Order: sequence, then structure tokens, then C-alpha cells
Amino acid sequence: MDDMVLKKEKLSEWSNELSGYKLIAPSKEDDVVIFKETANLNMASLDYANSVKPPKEVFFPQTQELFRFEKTPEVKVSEGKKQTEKVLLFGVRPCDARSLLILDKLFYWDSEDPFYRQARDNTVIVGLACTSPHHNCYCTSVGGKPYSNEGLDVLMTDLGDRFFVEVITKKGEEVIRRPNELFLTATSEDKTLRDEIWEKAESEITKHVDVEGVHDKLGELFDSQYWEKKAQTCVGCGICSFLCPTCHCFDITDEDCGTCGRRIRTWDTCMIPEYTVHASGYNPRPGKKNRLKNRVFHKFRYFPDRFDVIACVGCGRCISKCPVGIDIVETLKEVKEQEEVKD
Amino acid sequence: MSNENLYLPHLATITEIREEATGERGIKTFKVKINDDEVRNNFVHKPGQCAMLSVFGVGESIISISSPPTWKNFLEFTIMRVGNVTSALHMMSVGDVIGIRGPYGNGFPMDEFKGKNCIFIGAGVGIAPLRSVYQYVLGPEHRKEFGDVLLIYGARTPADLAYKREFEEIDKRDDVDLQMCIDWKFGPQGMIDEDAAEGWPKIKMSCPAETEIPEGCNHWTCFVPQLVEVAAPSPENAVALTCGPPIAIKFVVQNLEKLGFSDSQVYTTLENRMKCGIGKCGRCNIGEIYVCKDGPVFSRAQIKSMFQEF
Repeated sequence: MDDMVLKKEKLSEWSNELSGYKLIAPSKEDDVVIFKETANLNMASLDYANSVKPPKEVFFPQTQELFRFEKTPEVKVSEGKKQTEKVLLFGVRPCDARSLLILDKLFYWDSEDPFYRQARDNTVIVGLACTSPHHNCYCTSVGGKPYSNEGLDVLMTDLGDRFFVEVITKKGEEVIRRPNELFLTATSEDKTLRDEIWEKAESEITKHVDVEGVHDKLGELFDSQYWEKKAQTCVGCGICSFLCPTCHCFDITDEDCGTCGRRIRTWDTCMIPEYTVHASGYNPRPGKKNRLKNRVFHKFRYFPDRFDVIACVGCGRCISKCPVGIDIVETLKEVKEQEEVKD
Repeated sequence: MSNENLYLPHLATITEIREEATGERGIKTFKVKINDDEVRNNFVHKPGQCAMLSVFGVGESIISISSPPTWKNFLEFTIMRVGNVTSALHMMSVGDVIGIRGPYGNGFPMDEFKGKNCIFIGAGVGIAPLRSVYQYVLGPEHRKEFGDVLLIYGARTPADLAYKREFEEIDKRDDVDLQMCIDWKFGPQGMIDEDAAEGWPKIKMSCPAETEIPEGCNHWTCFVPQLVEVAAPSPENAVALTCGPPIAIKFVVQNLEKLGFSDSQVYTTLENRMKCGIGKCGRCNIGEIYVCKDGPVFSRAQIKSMFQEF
């Protein structure tokens, strides 16, 4: 499909055409941008570097009911209604779209997680290229671009009064049909302007780290004192993992109301001791140093070893939101400078 | 693409409960029958695999299946009372309904063990996962596929030994060398130079291999690793499977090394906290290994190659 443009004033009309879809878009309230259901895409906030919470929760909600149970008069289990509603997720940044390809690896390997699969299959993702990256953004260091279309069904670029529209997948074609009064063929001027915006955005990314060699270096530093030093200020709040678009760990617990209840899964974090403690009280990762190390290793060594991709997209949320200023980019730079620990 | 809810357990009924050991961390064996005929017939496990057991309203716990796949129509779980779910299970009665999903994990590589002499070394509740293997090997369906069997098992006191009646039966067989030990006298009181109980002569701790063996005696006062030294199995054409507390495994493995066992001849199981059992929830990792999927069974060679964080 040829590249197109969509006038911003036509967002509303396009929304009306999407009547079969639940629309989720970035929404700004009190200066906080989050992804929320909206009646019309013309309500979406377009003025944001990125959302505070990543859109992963559309596919992997913070709380997910797995099933319900009854205990009396006899034990019964029952599944809730399947979510079959189609969703159009608008305004996803390229880093967060790439994170879904990483989550796919985890949720689809060996056996498919049915809840995640269903949400992925039912959702069309319309991305919005970054025009002014945040100072903590570092997507270009981990294989991304502010205008990457990986993981997106449609990529849009804000050209001021209009969007430059590129349909990437068949799913994307389902929401942007042509010929159409809304989506007009892009001109070569549109394309030139898009390229300028992309180039400018990329040049505005100031945070960089060369991750080449980090994988092997980490292998040499498993027993390094560095982790103890690094973890000294960590408060173990887990915000780095809760807000990480590629973090996927979850807990499973029962909510019991006496005669019945439900089993739920909730986001969990490897930064707290309860995450790994055995019933016996033994904990294989007893200290903050063990846990912080595990998180860094997981992203840059374990996950690549298992799934051939670094589990980080450079969104910078863990840097922006860490209450004590632990910076993953600085950590990686320091890792590269550490002396190897020999037996 | 599958839309099957992997987290939805099957209902199963407890048909028998046997008390194996009492005390604060008591051990019970639960015989469980999956309610649905089709599900029950399709639930085929390998020795060493695990299942996720549910007590609805309390939660789930991953438990090794302690019956062999050759015992049809039911599963057994030998469970120590340690955490929330296992405590709730210990409160349950025959006829109560629990949830079960699985089987999970890799299990022991039984095909690789074929034609080999099998040495089983269990300490404490570590005997539970091993039971699914030695009962598989000793069963009439598969006995001929394996060589000599040496079964070493130790607990703190005679009362702490699980599967008592079963071991009496095994002891009568001439195709198994059964060696058992108790060690409670070596507990807080240190090395007491006497037998822990009548009929359980002590093994010379300073040099176990020099212990004089009374005719027909196979019950001892010692720790499991010392009993390995006394039994001194040959590594030739053999595999050794060991489960138990980390400290016991550590010294068992050392002693097997002394006897000439290579790292690829020694197998053990690892455990970690688990929630999903299917390689998604994240917490059971040791490096890039997921214990729930890649384990719980690992050779000594595999374990040595891991980051030592377990």
C-alpha cells in the first residue's frame, strides 16, 4: 500500500469508521499520560514523549483473572467470558511496539499463554513515531529507532497538521482501507518532511551505550563486588520492573471470599525478596545485590541466551522513575569498565 | 494456536492419606484421583516430573509426583508441611477435592538409563521424587531394562522414614540392594559413639569404608553420604540419582566423585519457587535456565555449568 497522509482534523471521522473497535489512546490528565479507552481518537493526547505506564497492560494487565472457583456445596472451577472485542491501540511509541515482539517470545515459547495471545490477536497497533525524544530515551543503543515500525501494524508520523501514514501489516489494512477520502496519497514533499522529522528525532537522542560485549562481560562479573556497590542505594521498590515494557514476571494468588473466589495473576517484580523465597525460608537471591544483578543479567544475558534478543527497548522509564537514580545506561557503561573476576 | 487455559486446574479427589512422619514439618502421602476419566487417562507423566497442586482459596504449589507412571489411575504426592499450600493440604481429608495441572518439567532421562546399574540416594523428603523412578525401574513392566539397583535412603529417626511398608517389601527382593540409615544422634548432641536405635549399628564416621558389616545388616546409624562410602557402588556402567537437602547432596556428590563417578553419571533435582510451572512467570530461573521447564532434573555436569545461584 502506498504511503498516505491523514489530516489531524479527520481523526474524528476515522474514529467513526472504527465502530467495531474499542479505541485505546494516550490520554493526558494532570500532566500524566497513560493509555486509556477513549470514545474518539481526536481526544488523544499527541503531546507526550511517552506514557508513564507502558501499553503492555493492554496485553498483560496488571491484574488478570485466570478463573473462578466455588468451594461449596462442591468444588467447581469456571472460566470467565473470553475477551473477543477488537481493540485499536493508538499512539504507541516505537520502543513499546518493539517490546511486544520481545514479550511474544516469552509468552509464546513452548506453550502459548492464552490470555496474552488473545489480546495480541484482537489488537491493531497504530504507532506514532517520536518527534521529540525524552532525555532518558536510548532506543538507538538497543537496536531501535524513534521511527521503527517493528511490532506495529501502522506507523504514523506527526507532520504538524497531518500524519504521515504507513501501513505495515495486513491487520493495518483492516483499519485503513483505500480508496478513501480520509487517507490521501502522500506527496514527495510529505515524505521529505517525514524524513527530516525522523532524522531530527534521532539526532535528539543523547543517551547512548554500546551494548556490544556486555553479554560476555556480565558472564565474567557474576561474582563481582560491583553488584553490592551498585545495589547500596536500591530500595527494592520494583518500579523499574513494573514500568518496564519488557518485564513480564507475574505472581499467581487466590482471592478467597469464603464459599467462592478467583485466581488472579498480577505483575510481580524480581526486585523484592518474596519473589524467590522458598517455603522453607531459603532464598537463592537473598540480597538486593543478587536481585539487581539478576535484573541486569536477565535483560542483557539470560533473555538473549534464551530468545536471541536483548530484553530492553531503551524507553528510559526505569531511569526516569527510579527513586534513587539508578541508571541502566550508566550501569552498562560501568559493567564494561569492570575488571574480570577470576576464580 | 491454542486457546486452552493453561492455568485452569483439573479437579481431583484425595482417595487416601498416609502419614509418613509427624512433627512440625510432618510428611504425608496423598493418593489422588483426577475426577474426569478422559483427563485422568491423558495425564501421563515421566518419572521425576511435577504437578501444580491447588487448594482453592489458598493457592498453588509445585510438587513432585512420587508415584511412577506405571501405577495407573491415580497419582501420589509425598508432601512435607512447610508453607501455606502444603499446610492446607495437611489439613485435608479423604474425599476432599483439590486442583491439579501438569505434568511439568523434564523428568529423568529413563531411555539413557536403560541397561545401566541404577543407584538411588535419597535423604529426607528427597526420597519422594526418587520414588517415581525406582518404582518405575523395579516394576515388572521395566525391571529387565535396567541393571543392578542400589537404593540408599536416610532420615533423622526410624519414625521419619517414609514408605515404611513399601521398603519392607523392597527389602525382601533379591534384585535390589537396600541400605537405610538414621542420623538423629549426630544432631545437636554431636558425634555420639553409639547406635542411634536398636538394630541400627553405627558406621565408623572417621573411615566409613572400614566399618565391619554384620551379616545381613542394611540399617545403619550415619549420614547418607557416609552410607554411600560404605556401599561403595562401582561407577562402571552406572548412573546415580540423588535428592535431598542441599547439604546432603553436596557430600553425596563429593563421595560419588571419590568413587569415580563422572559429572555426567550423577543426576539430581533442583527446586525453586514457582508460580506458573510453564516458563512464563519468571521466578524459577537460574541464569537462562527455567527450573520448571528445563528441570527439575539436571546432571551434575549441567549444574556445574550454571551460574551458582540456587
